[in-house]
Amino acid sequence: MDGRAIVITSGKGGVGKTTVTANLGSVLAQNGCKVCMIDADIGLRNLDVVLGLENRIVYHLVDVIAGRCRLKQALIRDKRNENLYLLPASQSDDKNAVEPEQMRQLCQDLKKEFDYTLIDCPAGIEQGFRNAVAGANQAVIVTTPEVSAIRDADRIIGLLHAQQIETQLIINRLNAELVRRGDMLDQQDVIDILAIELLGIVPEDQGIVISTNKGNPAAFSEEYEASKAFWRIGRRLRGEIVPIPNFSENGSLWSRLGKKLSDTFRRTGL
Amino acid sequence: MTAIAEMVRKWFGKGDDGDSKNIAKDRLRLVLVHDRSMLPPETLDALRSELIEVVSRYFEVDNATLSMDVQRTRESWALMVNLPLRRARSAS
Repeated sequence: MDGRAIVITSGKGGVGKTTVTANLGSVLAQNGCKVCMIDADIGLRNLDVVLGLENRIVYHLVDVIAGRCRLKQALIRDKRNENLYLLPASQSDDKNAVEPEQMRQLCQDLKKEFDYTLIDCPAGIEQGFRNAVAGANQAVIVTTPEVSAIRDADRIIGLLHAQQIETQLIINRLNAELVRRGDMLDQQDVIDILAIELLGIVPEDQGIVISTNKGNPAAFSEEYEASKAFWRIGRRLRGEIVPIPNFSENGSLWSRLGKKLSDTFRRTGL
Repeated sequence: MTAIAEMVRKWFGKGDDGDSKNIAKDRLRLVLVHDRSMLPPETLDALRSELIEVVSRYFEVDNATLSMDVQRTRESWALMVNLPLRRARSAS
């Protein structure tokens, strides 16, 4: 059996790569898939804290590559789901401690054991990016609906196409209210500009902040809108056809008026 | 009157804001045309020699005089090529 290695990348920092990696890993593991997440951000590791596994690190990616430990010794099994594993990054080395060829070999080894190997890519397009994409069969590009993030995503898409890596897009932190008002690019705008297949949309959700504070990915709780979005994306990744909700719908004049009135009444306490 | 207009404006979210996404879209389109047109030097050299090759089928040209430039205006990007011709090649 050979699994799939998927790199989660964006170009720009701070758009939610690590959050997406943690939540997609959590969803796929809960669906019964065996998942390994690699934190490829050597020197600036973060996936461990987002997952709440920071106290369990003994060995890391660079230890495995340098042969200081066996791969199995470095893998941390998640405390919530036994299908989910993390290979943490080193916090003391720099990106040059790893070569693309070594990452390719590592992904090969992991693909024999795991259905999904998710690689959390560092920001930028330098060595760290080249390492993270080296072993990937496909890429999930994360962007927010903002000019800077979309511009960087376009650059990354160009680089990945040159390497013949299949790409899909996740639009993260879409604010439906801003979209309705015409103050945020909607999903169609972003797809038109980037000309890429849409894998899913994650609405802006306070639940992400709360779950990251706790080190418990949103995808492990059901109450958040963002979790529902990640569950849909997980099903799409596994090949199911799941409709993408349209966050840019205006609704009729009367339904909008009704909503505005009820909002106003609630605010003023009428 | 103004109070009512203000309320209606707030209800429907139209007024000062409400159209910035179109500004974002236009700006992105322009900047991406630029980003995507940035070619590595090898590619530019290849374009240059292929251009000369094609034009040489129809005209006698001086290879050394070709000048190539990508020009940007607010509305568009254009490849400007200047290649002085010596004479047309005969029809045969």
